[in-house]
Parts: sequence; C-alpha cells; structure tokens
Amino acid sequence: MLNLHDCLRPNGKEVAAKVMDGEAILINLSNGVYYSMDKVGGFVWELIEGGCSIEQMIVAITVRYDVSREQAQADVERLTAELREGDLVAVQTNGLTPAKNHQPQVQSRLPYEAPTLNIYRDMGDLLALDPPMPGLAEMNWKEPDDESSR
Amino acid sequence: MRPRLISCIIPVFNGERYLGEALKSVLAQTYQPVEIVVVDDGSTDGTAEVVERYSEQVSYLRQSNQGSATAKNLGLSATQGEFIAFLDADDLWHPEKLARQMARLRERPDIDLCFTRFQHFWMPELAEEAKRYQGHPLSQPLSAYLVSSLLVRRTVFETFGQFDNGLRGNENMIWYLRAAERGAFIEVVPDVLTYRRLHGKNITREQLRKGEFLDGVFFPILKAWRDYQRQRLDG
Repeated sequence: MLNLHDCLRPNGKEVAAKVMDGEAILINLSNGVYYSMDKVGGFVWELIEGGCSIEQMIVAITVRYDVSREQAQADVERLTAELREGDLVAVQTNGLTPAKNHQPQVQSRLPYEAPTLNIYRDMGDLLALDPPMPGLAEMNWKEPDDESSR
Repeated sequence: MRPRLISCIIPVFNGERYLGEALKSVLAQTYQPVEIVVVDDGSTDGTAEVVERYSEQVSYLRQSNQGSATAKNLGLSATQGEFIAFLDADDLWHPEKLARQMARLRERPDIDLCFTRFQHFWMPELAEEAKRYQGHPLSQPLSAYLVSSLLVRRTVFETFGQFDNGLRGNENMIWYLRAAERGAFIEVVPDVLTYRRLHGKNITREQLRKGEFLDGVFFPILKAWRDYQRQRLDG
C-alpha cells in the first residue's frame, strides 16, 4: 500500500504516454499492449506526470470534481495499484511532510465518474491496416502473447 | 458511356529523385481519362523542373511548406474528377491499377474507399535492410490502407470531410479512421497494384531520426483508432 506522501512517476523506460483531449493513452513499448484513461483518469495521469504525491492527487480531485475525499482516495488507491501492476508507473518514496494544501475557491465542481484503466491488446489489428515502415526501431515490439482479448 | 474522370493528386516535397518515375506510372495507366496534378509543398530541389518535363499532361500547383495534408486538400479544390486517386511522389502504380479499381467500384457502388494490396520495394542504399526483411511479412504483399493505392469518390470528402490541414505523416490514417467511424465502407482490392518505395529519405525515417514519430505521428493515430473502435462497439 502506498504512503500518502509517495509520488508516482511514469515508467519512462518502457512506457510512452500522451494526453489528447483529456484522454491519456499509454503504450507499453516492450509488448504493444496499450491503455487509456479518460476524464478523471486523464486528469490523474496529468497529476502523475506533474510529480504529485498521492495526497496531492486526492486533494486535486476533490477540488475539481464533485466527490467525497473517501471516494476519491479509494479510487486513487485502486487506480494507482492497477498502474503499478501494469508497470506503467514507478514509485518514488517521498517521506516528506506535505505542505498544507490551500484549497482555491471554485465556482462549481465537475460531475465525477470513477476513473478506469482500459487495457487494449489490438495493436496488431491497427498495425495490419497501417503497417510500420520496415526498419522502424521505435516500434519494434513483439505481438502480445494473449490473443484472447481481441 | 463516356469514362468518368479520375483526378490523380500527387503531393510532393523535395521529390525530384523519384517523381519522374511516379508520373510515368500514372501516364501509363490503361484507364483514361486521368487529370494529373502535382502539388508542390514548397520544395527547394528540382521538383518543379521534373514536372516541367511533363507539362503537357501534368498540372503543377505550388504552396509554401505546410504539409502533405494541406497539399492534398489544395489538390482537391483544384481538380474536377468525379474520382480521386492519390500517389506519393516516390511510389508507383501498376498500369492496370485504376482500371481494375474502377471496375470494382462499378460492381460495388457502396464502396466508399477503395485501396489495393501493395508491395514494398527497397532502393539499393537499403540493401542490407531488404536482406533482413526477406521472408518477413512486411516484404510480402500487404492488405493495408496506403494512400498511394487509394481511389475514392469525390463525394466522400463532402460526406466525411477533408484531411486535417497541417498534419504531417498521420493525416491519411486519421482520415480513414474518422471516415470509418462515420460509416464509410472500405475495401482492399486483392491484386498488388501499388508499389511503395523504401529509401533513405522516407519522411517517416526523418521523423524517427528526429524523435518525432511516436509523439507527433503515432499517438494521434492510436487515438483515432480508439475513437473508431469505441463507435464500432458502442454503436
């Protein structure tokens, strides 16, 4: 279980990620499995990229979305566990006491949906329609072993 | 019945080396009539001089360098054909490519985008790479969506929109996926009628060398793919 002061960092070695229109898409370059998180999930990924601690993430979510702290914490803990399981993030143990968080005044909070980490194994289908140019080292990933998810 | 006009649009940036061969493969088409337009995307080499040699049969448009998407859209606005075919300046067509695709579109008027299977071929400077790829799927005929093999009715652009101006390298795939998401019917004719040239100056190789490929080119394609899959599964 992560400490509230721990920070997560994207696993820069094997994972490429980009946020587009609020949706975070992550590719595991070693096997072509890719993931997406949108809405609250996309926001969480931006927080991870920003080096936030778990506590800072929870607070940022409750400021932006209409959700209780308890729900936000439970969802952040679940989501970060899934991200760690997929080797998409690495933990940076902090151990420092966070500064008191100042909650800015907001007009109204956005409706909340529990964030989801979606996993896709159909990269092969896309590459069949748009084959990589021969010699592309950057896309030298092998096909995922598990074909059953297609 | 008079054969319907096909407009062949060839966007090009610094393509003097292989453009002449591409043009010859269009001029050799058994299907006529074909109007040919080269859209020069701000070339700084001898591209214009190559086109000049074919000036009786080929029109030439020039824009400042803005990317292939903008060049293709300019070609669309400058042509009259009921059907549009694209050809990259370094690729080639089989002489019967347009004829066989038109025959298919006559059989199946519900097809919106018609591709053909294509074959990669390597230039001598990539002989080592070609050797490494012997027997590899990428050296075999491919049933993929390659812009140089595309024949499409002009009305498809009215229905599904044009290429996103300014995109470089991914505008084609993103356009196909958006069209598919909106209901376009896509087919690949099984004959190998298009040949994709692999050489040291392929734009994708340049983008790779600059580290631009994944972030600038591939991720937007992957997003468009997800949007299409979401629509396909959710209805």
